[in-house]
Amino acid sequence: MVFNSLEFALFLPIVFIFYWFFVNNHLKQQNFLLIVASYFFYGWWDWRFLALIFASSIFDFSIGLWLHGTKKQGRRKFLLLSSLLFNLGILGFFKYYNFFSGSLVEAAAVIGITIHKTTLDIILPVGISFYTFQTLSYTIDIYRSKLEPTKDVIAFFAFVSFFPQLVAGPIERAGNLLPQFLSARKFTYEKAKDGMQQILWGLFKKVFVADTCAKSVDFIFENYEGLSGPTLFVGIVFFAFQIYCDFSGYSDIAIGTARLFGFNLMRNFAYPYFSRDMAEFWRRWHISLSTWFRDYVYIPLGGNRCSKLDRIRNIIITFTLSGFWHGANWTFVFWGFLNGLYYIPLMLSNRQKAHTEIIAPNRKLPTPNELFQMTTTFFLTLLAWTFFRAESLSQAFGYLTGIFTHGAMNPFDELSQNSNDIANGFVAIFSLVIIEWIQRKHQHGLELESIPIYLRWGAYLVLSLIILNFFGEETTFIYFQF
Amino acid sequence: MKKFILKTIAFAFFLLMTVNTFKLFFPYWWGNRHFHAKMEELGNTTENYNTFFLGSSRVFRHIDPEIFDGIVNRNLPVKIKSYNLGSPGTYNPETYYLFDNFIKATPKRPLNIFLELQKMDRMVNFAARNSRRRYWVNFNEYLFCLQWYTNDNTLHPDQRKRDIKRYSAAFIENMLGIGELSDLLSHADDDDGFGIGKNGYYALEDEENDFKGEEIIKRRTDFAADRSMVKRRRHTLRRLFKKIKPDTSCNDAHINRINKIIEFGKNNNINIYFLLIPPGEVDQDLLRTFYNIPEEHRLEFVDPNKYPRFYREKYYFDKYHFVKKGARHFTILLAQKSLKILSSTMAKNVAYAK
Repeated sequence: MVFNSLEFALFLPIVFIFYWFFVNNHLKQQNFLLIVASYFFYGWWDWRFLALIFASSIFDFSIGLWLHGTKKQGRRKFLLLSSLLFNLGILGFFKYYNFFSGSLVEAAAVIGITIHKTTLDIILPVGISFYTFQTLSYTIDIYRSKLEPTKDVIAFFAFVSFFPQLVAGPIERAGNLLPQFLSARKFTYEKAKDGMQQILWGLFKKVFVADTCAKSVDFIFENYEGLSGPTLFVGIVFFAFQIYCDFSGYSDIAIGTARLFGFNLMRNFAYPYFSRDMAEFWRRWHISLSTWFRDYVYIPLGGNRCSKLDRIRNIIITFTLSGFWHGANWTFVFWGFLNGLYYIPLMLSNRQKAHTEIIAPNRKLPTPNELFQMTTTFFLTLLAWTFFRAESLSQAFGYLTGIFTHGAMNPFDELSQNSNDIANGFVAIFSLVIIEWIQRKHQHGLELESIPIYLRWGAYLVLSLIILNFFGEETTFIYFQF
Repeated sequence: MKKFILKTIAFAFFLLMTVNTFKLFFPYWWGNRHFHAKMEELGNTTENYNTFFLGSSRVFRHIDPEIFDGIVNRNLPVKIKSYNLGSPGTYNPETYYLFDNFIKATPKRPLNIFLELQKMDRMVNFAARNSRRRYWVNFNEYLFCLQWYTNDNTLHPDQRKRDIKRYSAAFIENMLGIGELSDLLSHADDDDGFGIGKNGYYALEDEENDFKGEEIIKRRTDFAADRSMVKRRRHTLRRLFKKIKPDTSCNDAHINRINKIIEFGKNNNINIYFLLIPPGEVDQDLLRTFYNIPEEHRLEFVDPNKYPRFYREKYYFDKYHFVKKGARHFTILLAQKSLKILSSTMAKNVAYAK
């Protein structure tokens, strides 16, 4: 089930009513209801893969208890390793098997060895990368004695399968989310209202901005060889906003939905395109994944507390792995590697934390210097996004070369059949940037408490009408494939 | 909690009212661009016509009002001036929706209305989620669809479930105006002038010559490459007409609606006729329904035993439509058969017509 569907529009109020009216006073029943709802939500897509979530939950729940119950370091290491092997094994099989077998065949061919290629027709279970990382954080934190394991199996199952963030995050830490399943949730008007506002804002980003941009992006990337430089440039700018609004829109809906049930999920995006350097960008983009890699990969590798050379290695490994997490393709690996390269100069000059506050906090407009920094950072992300979007490295390089060598034509003239989509895309991006700039000090674009109610309702109405109008075919979210 | 739920409901209601109030400013046919083009052409001249044909592209491409008028006017006491309101992709119950609204909006009641008798639109193109497929699914039409499916016992339960789901989604989406607002605003831009100046009739050959559209050329060439469908259809229909006897029962929801239309016609001095138009997209259910319509209100042209010429390959432009020659033959036959019914029923209407 996807958030931008009529099914979800029916599912959500039904679960909400049962949750707050029928099992309101029973924590276990509430958690059990959330498990049933979450399994239904996931099973709507493909019920067969519910077994994976179930297996992952029961395995890590048991490992957690065993880890806590033993003091022997060797046995603890063995248990942690079992959890890592089990979870990453499943992830590796479903997500990376064909990639590794294909790469092995190609590598062998280079040195003259012929290996018969066996690819399996494997369906990638939606959200496997997200819930795998979430359950991994649980066992790793228990191993590190940062977390006490829960003995409440229902709460743990609900934590792993919690439907708002099950398929595309935010990747929650057990330390933040699990305790919320263990204590009574209370309905508050303010929280529920904020949840609804964030859902509306998320839908606006997904349905209006991301899906509108997607139409042009798909066409331009499919036909990039015959299109001029400016059109290719428009294509990659549109993709930058498509991926941002698709993913952050999903996160907004997830966070808002969780708030309706009394939960607080971590923030996943904080206006990343207003970043003044790449370090700031990575503190504002997919925060739950960036911090996961920081805590479970970068720091264990040595983090900043080692020689410069080792720090460079740690950065490159962390970013490259982060790229590989996104998908089994060299394009993602290169995307991660490139972002690692962007980060190194900032780290070496010790400027990776030069910008921790939001831009121009007490001014209406940025200074020319800030504008320059923002633009430069945005252009660096565009370069990287080309690799993220391309089907292969050669397509990415061809696309980038094409921007400078394919001549100049007005994109509206060149894509006259798609000119409406392009115009809508520009309007969508412009509206988004304006609203986000105004709201940059707030958690999301619709946090409008300081304005009169009639203006607030007017804003909700306008956004709802835009969403309804652009609500075309149900489109899945890009991050479902990761 | 109470405050939150009340405010959420209030907002949802406010949104629903806004969308549906907005829609009130647009004509009932807004999602059907061919019908729009015809209504634009008719403008204030609707009163100049007293006979209308309503239905799908089979009506649009096969009935030439000039030929029809020429034949019936030789022998009728009242001069017939007809207009073809057929439009591609218009099926049951959209045809009934258009009929109901057309009658309501027309200041002077017409004398005759010919409605194509059609199978239920199974919304096979529903995935396209365009306004065209669902702009007409208001509460009444949705209710009719539910009744129709409840009464239909020829469909597999899974098909029935799927179709009801599609109609339910179409109804909800239409109520919420999902994906419709910009279509509403731009619906008038889609007037491509099909059939203008020809009393609503437009032969496929003419369209091919006028526009040279890729899609229409492909339709013709695809059919030229494989004409076997005509033969298959002829065999199927022969068997069907042998199998289904006139005294069989049919879908109550459908026949009730038809009877209501006929009754309405009687009360308002409008002669209503239901047509089975070749090439017959007819199944058991539809044929049973046809046999349950009072004889003086039905005309059938699809039985291959009676009308073998409509199953000659040379009459076809594509799988579903005739070339001009086929359309001409059909119109002549329609006029001749109509004449018999019209002359008996219209004698009663002479006073009204004058």
